[in-house]
Amino acid sequence: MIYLKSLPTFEYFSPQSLKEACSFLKAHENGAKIVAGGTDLLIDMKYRKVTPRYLVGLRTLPELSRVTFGDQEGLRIGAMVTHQEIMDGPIINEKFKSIALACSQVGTPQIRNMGTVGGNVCNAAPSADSVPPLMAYSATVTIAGAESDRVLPLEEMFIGPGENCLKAGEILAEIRVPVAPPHTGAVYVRLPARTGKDIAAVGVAVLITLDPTSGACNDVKIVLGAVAPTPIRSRKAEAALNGEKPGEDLINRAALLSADEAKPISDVRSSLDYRTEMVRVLTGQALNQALAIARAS
Amino acid sequence: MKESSMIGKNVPRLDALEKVTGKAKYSVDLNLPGMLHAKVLRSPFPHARIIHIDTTEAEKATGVKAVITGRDVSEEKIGFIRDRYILARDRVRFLGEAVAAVAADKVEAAEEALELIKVEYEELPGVFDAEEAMKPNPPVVIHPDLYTYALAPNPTPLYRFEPDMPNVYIHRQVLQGDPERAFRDADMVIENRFFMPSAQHAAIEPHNAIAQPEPDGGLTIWISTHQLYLFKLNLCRLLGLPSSKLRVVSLYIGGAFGGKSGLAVPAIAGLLASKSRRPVKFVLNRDEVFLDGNNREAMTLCVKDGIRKDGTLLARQMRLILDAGGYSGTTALVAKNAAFGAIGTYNVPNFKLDSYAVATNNPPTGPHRGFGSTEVVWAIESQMNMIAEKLSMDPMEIRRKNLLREGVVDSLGMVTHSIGAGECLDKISDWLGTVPATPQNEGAWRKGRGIALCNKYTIGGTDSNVFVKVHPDSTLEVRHSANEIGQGCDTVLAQMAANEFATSIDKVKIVSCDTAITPYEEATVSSRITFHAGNALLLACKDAKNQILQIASKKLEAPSDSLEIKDGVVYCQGDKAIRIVDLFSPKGFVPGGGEIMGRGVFSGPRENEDPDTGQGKRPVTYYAHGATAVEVLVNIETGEIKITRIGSCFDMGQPINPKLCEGQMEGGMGMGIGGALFEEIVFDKGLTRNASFCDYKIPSSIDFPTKENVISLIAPVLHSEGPYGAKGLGEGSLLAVAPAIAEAIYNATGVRIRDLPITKEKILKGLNLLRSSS
Ligand SMILES: Cc1cc2nc3c(=O)[nH]c(=O)nc-3n(C[C@H](O)[C@H](O)[C@H](O)COP(=O)(O)OP(=O)(O)OC[C@H]3O[C@@H](n4cnc5c(N)ncnc54)[C@H](O)[C@@H]3O)c2cc1C
Repeated sequence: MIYLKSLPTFEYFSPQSLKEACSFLKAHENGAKIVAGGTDLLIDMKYRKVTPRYLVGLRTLPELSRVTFGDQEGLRIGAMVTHQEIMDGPIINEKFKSIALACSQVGTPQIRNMGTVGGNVCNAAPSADSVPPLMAYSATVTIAGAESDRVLPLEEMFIGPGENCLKAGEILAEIRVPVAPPHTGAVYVRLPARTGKDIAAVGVAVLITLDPTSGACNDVKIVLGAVAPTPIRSRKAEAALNGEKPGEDLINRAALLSADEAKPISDVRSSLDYRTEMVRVLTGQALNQALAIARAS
Repeated sequence: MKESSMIGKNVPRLDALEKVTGKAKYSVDLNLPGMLHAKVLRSPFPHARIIHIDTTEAEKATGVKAVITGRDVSEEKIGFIRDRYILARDRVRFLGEAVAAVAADKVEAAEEALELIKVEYEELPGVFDAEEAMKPNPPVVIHPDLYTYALAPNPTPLYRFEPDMPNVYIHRQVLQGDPERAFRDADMVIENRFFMPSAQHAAIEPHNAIAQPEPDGGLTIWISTHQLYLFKLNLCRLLGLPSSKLRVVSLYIGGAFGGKSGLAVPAIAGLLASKSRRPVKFVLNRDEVFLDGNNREAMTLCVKDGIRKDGTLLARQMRLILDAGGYSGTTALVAKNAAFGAIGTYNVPNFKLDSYAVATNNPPTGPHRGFGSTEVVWAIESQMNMIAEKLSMDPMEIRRKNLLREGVVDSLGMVTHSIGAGECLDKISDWLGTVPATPQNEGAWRKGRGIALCNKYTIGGTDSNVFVKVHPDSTLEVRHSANEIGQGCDTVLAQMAANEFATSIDKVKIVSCDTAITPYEEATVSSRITFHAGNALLLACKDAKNQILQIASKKLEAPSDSLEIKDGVVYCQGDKAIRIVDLFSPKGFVPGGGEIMGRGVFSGPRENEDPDTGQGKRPVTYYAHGATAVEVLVNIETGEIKITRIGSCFDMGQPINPKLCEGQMEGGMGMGIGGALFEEIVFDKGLTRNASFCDYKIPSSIDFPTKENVISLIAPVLHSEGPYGAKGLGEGSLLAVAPAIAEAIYNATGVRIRDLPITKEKILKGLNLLRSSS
């Protein structure tokens, strides 16, 4: 049994630039951690899962707290943008509704006003709500480093539960979401584990782009949350749908394939069997909803 | 009944403003100069012998002022069966048991010092399943000396040990009539097994105490508890202090629901304060509350009923198995009192109950709102629905048919008095039936409705003492020791005092819960305060009024029975009158009498029970009765449940403050939803797997229907011994919720759930089973 303790002592470092932050992190390797909203980190510190000597705050870097949009460059979300800002953001609500919806389901108002999308991604929980819809939109991440920056598909950020691919001295700076083609429907459906306000037992994001003339699927993304060590693409189900005209049978088949691809665990929240079954149900729901939106647009 | 201007009035809570503005003080807020902070080291094993504890390093650590272990605690133990040392001595019996405690100038220093304590354990085999533990040859005997332990002084005996079952703390039996014969005579026998899991009370304020050494060698301890005087009694024993040297104080209590009944927290604070000669504050973290916060035990219940074709109950047999955990806590008493809940609603001529509190190596357990009734009501009300279904009877009808009625002797041998169960049932089913129809089945959502009844007993043989001091400004100072745990006792007692003196509520001042100045109160438990402290208060008011009338009658030269007190003035027939202030001398003194101080003592009825049949004339002081109705939508694809409507109707006797009663009912319904759908402490070989609000989920506002879909109704049936006919309410409001929800779910889906909580997953499993069997 790991007990809660009081917050361990640490020093707070407030960098003047992203580069300075990276250098500081690099210099202190395991001794320093980024703190964004702290809604995951401080709890881990109280359980002594991590005991950084330094916390590096990014609040002084306004570029990380911005949301911008351009038809060409798409949506850019700074890592420090909170879930509340995303759920309230007019552009995101208009053009990337499933992302706004996912962030609106995170925790409670207190958590949404502190917790950031960058923290959600970097914390790498399999159940992170903002991740499946972002992945479905083929989001990329811009990672700042002490020496150089790199850009990765968001999908490649995750290594395992609580484990991301950042190297020493790297910071997630921004998430970029490309604009989806017309005739696209994107949704996120989620089933809370127990109470109405609970971590997801299963979350499913779907994005479908239809060929307006044939009605066939030009592009399908299905992302499953909370049912594998990381959020995962359900590639077999995607493949079954791509190029096809989706009818009831096909959707049911795709949903079964998703359930098959899920690798959930049993824990105090849900059992493996229930999670697997819910992947099927939620994938079916999400596909139908996304199709309806794509057809109507 | 005499005319009353304060009774049945929705007087705003006296503490409302203080609480909503955050000014109200709880002991967890207190900080004293020079105060140290305590932390305890807990056993990593569910069952082990302690070979050696080495505290030398911890004692030398910076900031550490005192370290104690089992060697430093007294021989005196805690529990209704005295089975537990404040700190484990040579054996730990659950994972999380405290083995050492440290007081340091900072919380952090105390936490660090714990890591320097070296404990050598020898692991012992454990037993984690109550049914396995109660076998004649269990894998391990948890308390080899069980039968030599002392018992707490208790109004009623705890019943027997079972030498053939060495892990059974107590076995409680009730026998009435001849159940075996009745089962043979019955047209139908139906038997079911139910389960209710272990649960946490989830009070917002965690368990805490602050002990301060006094110059006379004694201690003052501020404690968040609902058992002020019971704590004082026991802490004197545990700390080796005479009554005169221990002062116990409680401020507002941030919720308790039975949970704040453990003595370890204040005793450890007290021992460390005595040793360090500094004030010591000890606050449990939330995970510690889950481990050693007197959780409700898990109970397995087997109910067997014999019924006539027309729905008449002929016999009921119940077997209750309580997983009390490594120490008996109050669960030995729960095993006994569960019988009260089992017999309080229906007329069952042949009745047998066997209830076992069993030792396991799970964490110890204690009282939880309902004290055994939540569990038995869950089983019995579910069973009533199943009987109705088998007989194709209306579930309301079968209940009405079998209800106890005024004057009928119940299965425990007590004459039924003040039973509003039928009225509650009628009122709440009317509400459920007449409210505008909500959405019908839509998509995967199925609608269902359910109603259940419940009763809540209040224990017998308890005492209350209240003082009422009348100030020269005619303010009534009510001194009592009932804990304001949120239920509103201060307001209710103030209303009664104002009523007795025909004055307004702002002329009442409450002084409470300080053993140096407020009088004896048995404990704020068992929904007993309105009735017991209320009766004591009425007597105290009468005493104070008599004192006033005596003096006034001399001053007014009129016989005292011609005088009347109203709004701080003593009136005489005609137009003679004297203000209360004028009874006092200019120095604020009543010549000849000193202070005007009324005293009231009320003792609840006390009758011995027959140890063989478990019966008695008055095992219970009174019963509150109630009914809860719910409407749900259930998603047959995901198993999701939405409570779309919920309402309760209760008979608490005369409601002193109907709004407060509604508050209790709403709170009870919320807590009931939690127990029905979400809450369960999960153990894995003695390890608590969900000791946090992240993993143990309690409902929030979004799990509760919107305001217009919630109702709290009152159907009072007065009690002849209650103040103005009042009984009690606090616990009862929770009890019927789970069976009502289960019935609504059955009604919606055909899935019958016998094990709480009703998770989405269980619904889906049930649906799959139905599909595969049809
Ligand atoms: C009560 C409660 C309810 C919750 N409910 C949900 C829920 O429903 N859904 C959900 O998805 N989550 C939920 N969470 C988890 C949490 O709130 C989210 O994951 C949140 O988005 C974390 O963001 P943060 O800014 O607080 O991260 P922090 O706690 O500050 O950081 C988390 C981790 O990411 C690292 N990090 C943060 N930013 C960066 C960066 N820019 N570059 C590199 N590393 C970085 C930190 O070093 C740390 O390791 C809940 C948490 C709580 C306490």
